Amino acid sequence: MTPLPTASAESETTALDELLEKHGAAVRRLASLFERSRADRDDLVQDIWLAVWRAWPRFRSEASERTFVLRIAHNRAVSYVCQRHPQHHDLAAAADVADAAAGPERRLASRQEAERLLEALRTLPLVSRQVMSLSLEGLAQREIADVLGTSESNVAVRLHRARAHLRKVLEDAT
Amino acid sequence: MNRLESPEFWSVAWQQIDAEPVALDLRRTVARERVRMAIVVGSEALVVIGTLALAIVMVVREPSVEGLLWIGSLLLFFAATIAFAIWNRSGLWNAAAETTAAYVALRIDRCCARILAARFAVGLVIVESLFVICWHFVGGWMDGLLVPANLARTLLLLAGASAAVLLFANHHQRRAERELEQLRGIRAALGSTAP
Repeated sequence: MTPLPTASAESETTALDELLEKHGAAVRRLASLFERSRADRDDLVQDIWLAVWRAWPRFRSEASERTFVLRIAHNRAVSYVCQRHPQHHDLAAAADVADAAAGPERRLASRQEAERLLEALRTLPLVSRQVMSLSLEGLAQREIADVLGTSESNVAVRLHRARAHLRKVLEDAT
Repeated sequence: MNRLESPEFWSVAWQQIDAEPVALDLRRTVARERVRMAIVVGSEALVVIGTLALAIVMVVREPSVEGLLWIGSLLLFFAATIAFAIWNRSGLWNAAAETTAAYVALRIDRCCARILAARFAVGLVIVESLFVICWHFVGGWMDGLLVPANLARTLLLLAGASAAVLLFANHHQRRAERELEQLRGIRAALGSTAP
């Protein structure tokens, strides 16, 4: 991939576009996990990409490009959570909102399911939320441990507990 | 059975999370941040240079031992503050692409530095206030006065300025302490398998 900040303005933009193309959706999903409000979510996404842009000159291919972006994204999310007051996550209320928006079409039903899953994920403690979201992005336990800087056994235990918690929350909500 | 009750379906639902692309304008954001930083640094430099210039002008117009002592003490306070700021910030600006555990450790150090800076500000205000009061009384005694002239006005000004700094430092410290508590929780969660 073209180095971001060393080349001309045009190639910087191209390289950033490539990163956005590959990992943009994952970053947006991550931001959704930490922020309901559209405006604040957009701010978080912008903040993450700004951090990626700045850190890109230090990318040395020791980790994969995806790991690099996800590390920065999760670090920015930690900052975001710590700098803001805790939010109250009410799964029942979220389910009500989703119900009101539900229609007969399959697309709407899928969207409703996605929203419910998101709300259930938001009830997890921060680290478990990170572990679970990385797992849902398709990362192996070893990769998750690499992103977060923790042990694989910690990841395995947290994944197990997070899944049990999610199952219970989703069952209770229905 | 609801499809969401099956963990196998979660990754499918996760991919369906509807988050629209964000229009990024990183160049403008960077430019805005640079301007903001320049304003902050510029205003800090302006205060230091302005205060020193004013003191020097006053001493040059009416040279005296007191004036020189006043400038010397001002320089001492500025030097102490700058030295503390440099020492307190050293090693706290590493890359953001570390693991979350390393990043959390870095943020904990930054929080500790912010708390220390707030405490330093409080200490500096106390020392400077004592210095000004002593200076005022010594000046009064040298003029043969038991109670120096304009004492009430000086104390009022001093109290106002000190209260403002102390309130700001206290607010800053509380915010940093709250963040520190959260970060320590995250560090504990990343470092162990305890719930």
